[in-house]
Parts: sequence; C-alpha cells; structure tokens
Amino acid sequence: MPIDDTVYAYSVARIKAIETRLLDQGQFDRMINASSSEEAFKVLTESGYAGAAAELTDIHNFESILAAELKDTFDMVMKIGPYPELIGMLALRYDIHNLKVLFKAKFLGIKSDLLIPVGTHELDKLEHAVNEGDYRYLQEKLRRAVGKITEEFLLNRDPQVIDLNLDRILYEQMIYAARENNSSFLEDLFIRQVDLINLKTLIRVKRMGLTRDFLKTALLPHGSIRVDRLTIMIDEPLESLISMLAISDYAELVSEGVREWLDKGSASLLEKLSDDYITNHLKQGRRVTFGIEPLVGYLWAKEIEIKNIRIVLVGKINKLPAEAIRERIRNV
Amino acid sequence: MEGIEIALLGAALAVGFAGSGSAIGIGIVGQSAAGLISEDPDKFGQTLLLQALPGTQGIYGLLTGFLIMQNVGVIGDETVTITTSQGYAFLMASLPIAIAGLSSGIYQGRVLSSTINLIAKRPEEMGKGIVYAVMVETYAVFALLATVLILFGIDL
Amino acid sequence: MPIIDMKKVFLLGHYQEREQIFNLLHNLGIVEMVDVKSSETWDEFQSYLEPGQLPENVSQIDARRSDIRYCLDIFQRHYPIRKSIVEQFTGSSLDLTADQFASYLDSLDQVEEIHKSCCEAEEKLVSIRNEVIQSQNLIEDLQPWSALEIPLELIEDGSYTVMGLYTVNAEQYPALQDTLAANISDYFVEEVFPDQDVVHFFFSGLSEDKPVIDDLFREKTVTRVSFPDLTATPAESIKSLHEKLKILNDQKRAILSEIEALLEHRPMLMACYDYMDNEHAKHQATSNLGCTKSSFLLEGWVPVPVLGDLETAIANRTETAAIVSRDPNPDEDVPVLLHNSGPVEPYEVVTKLFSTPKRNELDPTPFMAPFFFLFFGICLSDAGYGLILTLLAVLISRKLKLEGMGKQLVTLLIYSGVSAFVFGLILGGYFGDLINLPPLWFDPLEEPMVMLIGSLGLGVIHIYFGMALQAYRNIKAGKVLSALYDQGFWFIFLNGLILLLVGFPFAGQWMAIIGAVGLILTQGRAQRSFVLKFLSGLLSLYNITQYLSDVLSYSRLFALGLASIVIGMVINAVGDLVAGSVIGYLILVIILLGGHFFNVIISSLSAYVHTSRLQYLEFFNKFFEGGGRSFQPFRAKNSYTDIVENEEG
Repeated sequence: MPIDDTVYAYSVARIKAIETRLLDQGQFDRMINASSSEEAFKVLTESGYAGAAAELTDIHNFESILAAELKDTFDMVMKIGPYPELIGMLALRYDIHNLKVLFKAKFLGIKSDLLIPVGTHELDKLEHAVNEGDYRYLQEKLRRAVGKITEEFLLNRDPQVIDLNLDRILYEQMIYAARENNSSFLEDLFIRQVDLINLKTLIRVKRMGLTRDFLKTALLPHGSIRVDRLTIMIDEPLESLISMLAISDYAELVSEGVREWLDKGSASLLEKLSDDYITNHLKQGRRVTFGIEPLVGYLWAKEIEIKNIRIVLVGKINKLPAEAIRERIRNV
Repeated sequence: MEGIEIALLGAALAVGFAGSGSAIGIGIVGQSAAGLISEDPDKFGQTLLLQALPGTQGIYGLLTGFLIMQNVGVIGDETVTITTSQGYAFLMASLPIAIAGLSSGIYQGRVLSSTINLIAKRPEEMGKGIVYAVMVETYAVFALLATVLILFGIDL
Repeated sequence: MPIIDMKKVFLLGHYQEREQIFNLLHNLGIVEMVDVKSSETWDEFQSYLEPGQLPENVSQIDARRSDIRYCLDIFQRHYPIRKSIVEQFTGSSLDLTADQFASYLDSLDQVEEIHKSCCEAEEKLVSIRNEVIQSQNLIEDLQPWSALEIPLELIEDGSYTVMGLYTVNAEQYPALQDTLAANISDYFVEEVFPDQDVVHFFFSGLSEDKPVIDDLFREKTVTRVSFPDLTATPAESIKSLHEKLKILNDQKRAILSEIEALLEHRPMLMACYDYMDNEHAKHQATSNLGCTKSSFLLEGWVPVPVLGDLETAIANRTETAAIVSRDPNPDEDVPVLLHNSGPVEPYEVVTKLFSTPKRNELDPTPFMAPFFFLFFGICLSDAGYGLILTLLAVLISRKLKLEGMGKQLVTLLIYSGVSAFVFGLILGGYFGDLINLPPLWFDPLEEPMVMLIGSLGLGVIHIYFGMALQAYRNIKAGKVLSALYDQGFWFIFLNGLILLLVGFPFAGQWMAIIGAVGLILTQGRAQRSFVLKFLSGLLSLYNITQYLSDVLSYSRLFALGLASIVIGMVINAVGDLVAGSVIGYLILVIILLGGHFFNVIISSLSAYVHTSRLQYLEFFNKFFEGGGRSFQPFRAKNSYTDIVENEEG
C-alpha cells in the first residue's frame, strides 16, 4: 500500500456516490415479480442501464448489454482510482476466461461461452495469439502458461489441462501481485477465492470418482486450507470435511451447500453461498475511507448485480416460477 | 537572536504549522468532495460546508501570530523592547497551537472525508459526521487556549 | 409534555370500503401503520386472518409511475433543473395550488403518449451516439493512410497481382524489407505513414508469389488493414465522414429540441408522478392489513391529542369502519413524537440530530435549550456579528418556505444571533474592536481569567443540572437510593473538592471525605462478594477524571469567544495597514466587509458545532440515552411538487 493513503479520497467518495445506484433488493423483487422478461427488463431502464437499454431490440441479446456494462464499470474504476494496475489485476480473471473460451474453441471445436471484453488484453490480440499460436503480445507469465497448455494438450489430448493451468496461473499471478503491492486486503481476498475453488474442485472430483493423485494436481496452491489436508478428504465421508472446517469461515457454506450438492446433485446452492460469502467479506472493507477496499467491493457488487440480472432474465425468458429464481439470486 | 526575533519565530511557527494542518486537511476533504460532486453535483453546498471545517486551525494559528506581533510591537504604534527570555516565552506560547493545529487539521480532514462518504448515501446524517469532526477540533481549541493563556501570562 | 403519548388503534372495516378509508387516513396523516403480521394480534387471531394481498392493479400503477419517472429522468439528463446552493440544503420543489395539481391530473392519459415520444427520442439519440462513435473510430483508423491517393475500393487482389494495406511493428520493418528482397523478385512497397511503433505500408506483388508472401507476412506478424465499405481515397473518406458527423450532430440537436418541446409537460408529469407515487404507497400499505373474506383489520399508532379527530372522521365519513384504541403495552415498540412549544421548539433540531428520545425518557430539549442559547452567545460574543446573524436568518426564513428541521434550524439561528448580540454588549465586542464601546461587564482580553473561570463555572452548573435530571429520573422510577448513591454522593464529593480548591479547607475536606466514603460503599453494590464490592467502589473514584475533563471541556467557550473577537481585530488591523489614501480606503472597505462576513459565517459555524458538542457529550451523557424511533405517519409524500394554499409572489 502507498504511504499516502489519501490518494484514494477522490475515488472512494466517487464510488460511494455511484454505489447508491446499484440495484437493491426491492428492484430485484420487482424484476422477479414482473409478468414477462420484457417487463423485468423495464426495471433496468429506470436505473443505470437506461442508455444501453434503448439499444436493445431483442430481449435475448441482453448479454451484450451486460458485457458492455461490465466493461464500462472496470474502465471507470480504473480511470478514477490511483493505481490502475491493481484494478487491472482483478480484470485478469476475464483474460483467463477469454483464453479458456478461445482454447476450447480451437482444441475442442466447441463454443463454450461468450468472450467478455473486460480483461487487460484486447480481444483481437488474444484471438490472434490463440489462433495463430503467436503469444508475443501476452504478458510474460501468461505466455509461459499458455505455451505449456499447448504442449500438454498436444501430448495427451486432455481438455482439463486448459482450465487447470489457466486457473493456476491466474491465482498465482494475482496473489503474487497482491504481495508485490503489499496489499494484504487483496491477498486475503484471493486466498479465500482459492479456498472456495478448491472446495468445489474437491467435491467435483469426488463425485466423478477420480483418484487422489488427480485431485492433487487439480487443487490450486496458496489456499488457506492446505492441499494435503484437502486431498485426504476425497476418501472420507462428508461429515469429516464438515468437522474439519467446523471452526473455519466456511462451516456454514460447506454444511449447507456441499450437502445439497451431494444429495441433490446441484451445485447452484454452493455457488450462491460462495458468492454471498465473498460479498459479506467485502462488505466489511467497504467502510474504509482511504484504501482500495471500496473500489474492489464496488466491482464485486457490480459483478454480482450483473450475475443476478442474468439469472432473473434467463429465468424469465424460460418462464421459471418466481420462487425458483429467487432461490438462485445472490444477496445484494 | 534578540528577543524580538525569537518571538517572531514563534509567530511564524504558529501561522505556518497550524496553516499547514488546515491546508492538508482541507485538501483531503476537497478530493473526497470532488469525487462526490462528479457524480452528484447537488451536494455541492453540503460538501462546501464540510470542507470549511478544518479551516479553523489555520485561523487559530493566524490569530496567535497576530497576538504575538501586536505584543512585540511589529503591528501597531507602540514600540516595545523584548528581552531574550521574553522572546522565548512568546516562542513557547506559539508551540501548542502550532503542533496541535498541524495534526488536528490533518486528522479532522480525514474524518470529514469519511463524512463525505457518509453523505453520499445518507445526506440526512451530515450533522453526526460534523460532530465527529468536532471531536478532533476540540484539541486545537484546547491548544489555542493554552497558547492564549501563556501569552496573557507574559510580563512585558 | 414534550413527548406525546401514543395510543394503539385497531380499525375494522369492510373490504369494499378499504379504498375510501385509506384515502381518509392518507389525507389525515396522523396514523402510523403497523404490520398486523408482526404484532401480537396476529398470534392471537392468526387462524381467522389472512395477510393482506396487494391489489391487482398495483403493478399497473407501478408501471405507470416508472414510465413517468423515465420521462422525467430524460428531461433531467438533457435539460437539468439545477438546485441553488440554498436548495441543496433545503430541497426544492414545484409549488402548485390544489387546483393546478388537480388540473394536471386531468391530463394523466397523455402520459402514455409523452412516454412513447421520450422512448423514441432516446432510442434515436442512442443510435446517433453509436454512429458518431463508429465514424470517429473510422476517422482515427483512416488518419495514417491519408497520404495515400488511391481510392480504397481499387485496393484488392486481381488476377495477376495482389495488393493491400498493411501494418507491422516498426522493429520488424527493416527485416521484412530484407526478407522480401531475398525471397521474391517483383513487388512494390511504399511506406505511407511511418509511426514510431507501427509502420503503415502499401504492398503489391504478383499473384504467383502469394503463398510465399503470406508466409513471410505471418512470420513477421504483418496485419492486413481493410476498409470494406469505403470507396474514395482515405483523405476524401475522412472528409465525408466529418460531414456525416456534422449531419449527425444536427440530427441530435433536432431530437434534443423535440425533447425540449416536450418540456412543457414537465410540471404535469411531476404532479402525476407524485400522485401515482402516493397511490402506489396506498396500495402497498395493504400488505400491513390482516384480512378475512370481506373485512380487514388495520393496526396503528395515533398521537393521543389527535385521536379524537380520527374517531370523529371515521364515524362521520365512513359507513362500516369501527375503531378501538388502547394504551401501549410496556414492551411495545412505540414511535416517538416530540412536541415542544414556544421558544424551546426550534431546539428540537439539536436533539433530533443526536437521537430521538426513547418513549419513557425525558425529552432533553427544554432543559438543553437555555444552555444552548447561552453557550452560543458566549462563543460568538460580538454584538455586530450577532446582529448580522439574526438578520441573515430572518432573511432566509422570509425568502424560503422552510419546513420541519430546516425551519427549526433557522429559527434557532435567529435566537442565537440575539444571544451573541447580548454577550457582545456585555463583553464589549463590536465587529472585533471596530467600534470602541466599553463593555457592560468586563473585557475578556484584559481579564482572561475571569472569562475562563466563568466558562468553567457554567460547565459545572451544566453538569450538575444533568446529574439532577438523572436523579429525577431515578426517583421517578422509584429508585430513590440510586439517586442518592449515583448522583447524591458524587454531588457531595465534587462540591467538597471545589470548596477545597477555592479555599474552604474544613468544609471542603469533610464533604469530600463523606462523598468519597459514600461512593466507595455504594458503587460496588452490583458485585456479589464483599471484596469485589469494596474494590469496584474504590475504583469508581477514578471517574473523577471524567468529571474533570468534562468541566475543562467548557474552556472552549472562552477560547472560541476570544477567537471570534480577535479574528475580528485581525481583520480591522489588516484594514488599518492599507488605509490612508483614497484607494486605500476603498480596499479598507472591501477588507472589512469581506473579512467580517467571513468571520460571521465561520465563527457561527464553530459556535454551533461546539455548543452542540457540549450538549451531546458533556450534558446528555449524564441522563439521556436516546435511540427511540420517530413517528412516521401514513400520509402524502411528494417528491417533485408542493401544494400551496394560494399563488403568491
């Protein structure tokens, strides 16, 4: 952290003012109770999405508006904050997301997801890199990871190497950068995110009946729960995982979310609880006056808001009952 | 140094340090205010009021400087001879407000930055934010009190 | 009684009459609704009652309301109504008479049409904005190629030749030239725009060499640039794009003037919004009800003085409704409404800024008001400044139609100015030392110690008064012994110490000892074991530091009073330095006017906040907790408009 923390005064005050425009629970309720997806979308037109919403001719294309909103949000926070490179670190997640999509398209021929124009690399640079195998414009660390993926994939044709390697490099990079900048707040946040990912990996591997060795390679390092303690859990019943984490922050999340996943086969509750967990964690930091915490908190809140809008609109388009939608949306 | 120069050093310290405290404090609040105003221009009046608060330390410093200058005859018509020990007494008198003015101005600014973040969401809570800032200013007031009491206590 | 008593009312009515009854309550504005589901009635009658359902048209009203809001937001975005600096504190609204308001509501059916026009206009604006951005980007892309004099459509691969526009990293360019020369025989390269980082060039070669060329270009990461839709030369294209931008700009202006033409409906929309918003609130309030098939039960709080009005209104103007009331139960969450009369009333604002009192508490306002008046005067202590402050405040209250806390604050400032005026006369401050009149009592610059001791003395009185109020509370609550132990012994102990200090050793000594012994014996009474009782009793004497620092805190009265006078003197002295010539006198007048005005504002601000602080910290903490919930009746709330009696000025 910088010695003069008052450099954050401007950006934090501005974020506080912007924060008041986030959609609140009442607005989400109105969206959920709306009679159609178009009506639900109308709620957005009253809020910060008014300008973009006028462009939308077909409700099914709402993703482009959400992507544009996310990009605008990141650009704005980077512009007003004093250390854009720290915010850029949070945007790295989207580079990794885009690389995953591109690699899967190239190697597996599937279109897994939309590209999101938010990362630190321009989309055409990434496309060029993956399609032409020319990684010159990538960050050095990424370049190495990407090279490794190509190599390993050609060797054993295992699609898992894409996700594993990219996630690994993402969190390594982020944690490294957080340490570099002496931001214990960010480091702590990333460690928690690694923990949550590892927990999900553990359950997924357990459900697929894969081996302990595989789990070992799949878990990310740097988490607060040690990798070897997690690997043991693959042969244990759920109760021992719960008791192992009983005094940690993750107790509730595991006992509710993981149980539901194992019982009903649906990970959506765990996903929701994980997001809510990070939201709660960041809410504490949002009270800081001089620091990056409120900026990070706002970015996260916006990401959650966009996620929720997506859940509601998809639910409305597919005519899901209001209760089913309400269950899934994240706390705001 | 003769007595008068030592006394004037005191005047300079009081005005300079307390003024710096106010300047830094106001600067911090100003940055926060600018951040809020760029999104919500209608809060200009409120933020202006908040930004003015850390200005008092500078005023107290100026006031002290003025009292010293008047006492040693730099301002006004009467000429006074100041002994070295009297000069030191004036210097001592200036120190409380110089020191406390500097630090309380800065910290008052920081508290008010938080207040600005508060009124971004809940403008009706401005009064409470001001009270918090006044807690900090209390110590500038006490320092001024000490300064003034010492000044009045110097025999000329 | 400063805190108004409340009664809980239960209103039973026929569901068909619900709307009329709600309208009546909404107009009266004296009932705070309680959600039946969360009250004890619910526990009792749950089996008979259903939670109130929102009426079906509530979503229609909601949609209508958000349409109006959309239009108003668009107006605000393009033709904002800016608030003046005073309005930023007080809020601004459109004044309408009841007749005007009603006539605007007649045009409610126009809303749909206006909303449609607004949507269309906004849609066009967005698409224009997109086109503008596209064109600007294209111009930027074309800029490097502007030296090229070939129409862009001609640059394409033919049957014998290939040609195109390319960019390459500047470092790679020399190497590219070398490899080209080494590998193919016939080609043409022209650098169009050498940038520092990227070289823009035109290239043409033979079709038969295409595979080689493609490979070479890939190796050096040469990127091909194409402008598929453009036909003219780059320079001409840029020119026509600029023309297009101009046209787009004109279109934008035309649409903005369309919106401007709609602005005449703004007041109508504002009125309609407020109407719809209140309708919405009325409908939303149904969720507080408990219902059977054809009746409903409403629960709420009503201030006792207006309960009769409510009962007569219900009796005379409804057919089916019946109303009963009862006193609140001890554990119920009763809202608090303050009512002070006369000169004390404006001081409520000071209390409310701290906290609304709890229902069983004393309202501190009347006790605090005289001290506030006194302390503010001492802090400002200048007759001239007091006069100006009072005049300014009177001016503001005349000019602006203030309500609620804003009005209270301004009235408080009028009184405070008077107090400062009086203390100015007593202590001889007239714009600093501008007018040299002798003080009625003493000059604080000459006798600072008198003023300091006076300030501390006032502090002691203030604190004792707070303790007395707490003792009164204790006695009223039947805890007479607590009043003796917690306030009485301290009172004896503190007075003993004061007597010692001012030179009555005998009386002082004995009073201090009696007080201290009393405290040691009683302050540990909550503890169980004897040793602990004694220890915590002994430890409680340490609280003397608290009292000491409380009293010393009042020295700020002296410091601030002195400060406002001396700052005034500084202003006068600076003015004195420039006086002499004609221009000098002119500057003198400017300095005096500006300087003293500045001092009035800044010193009044200081006086206000520091006086408040003395109330909040030193006084209130002796007897007042706060944390009550203020009374919020079900009534009309307008965001944009204000209904006024008559059209005036």
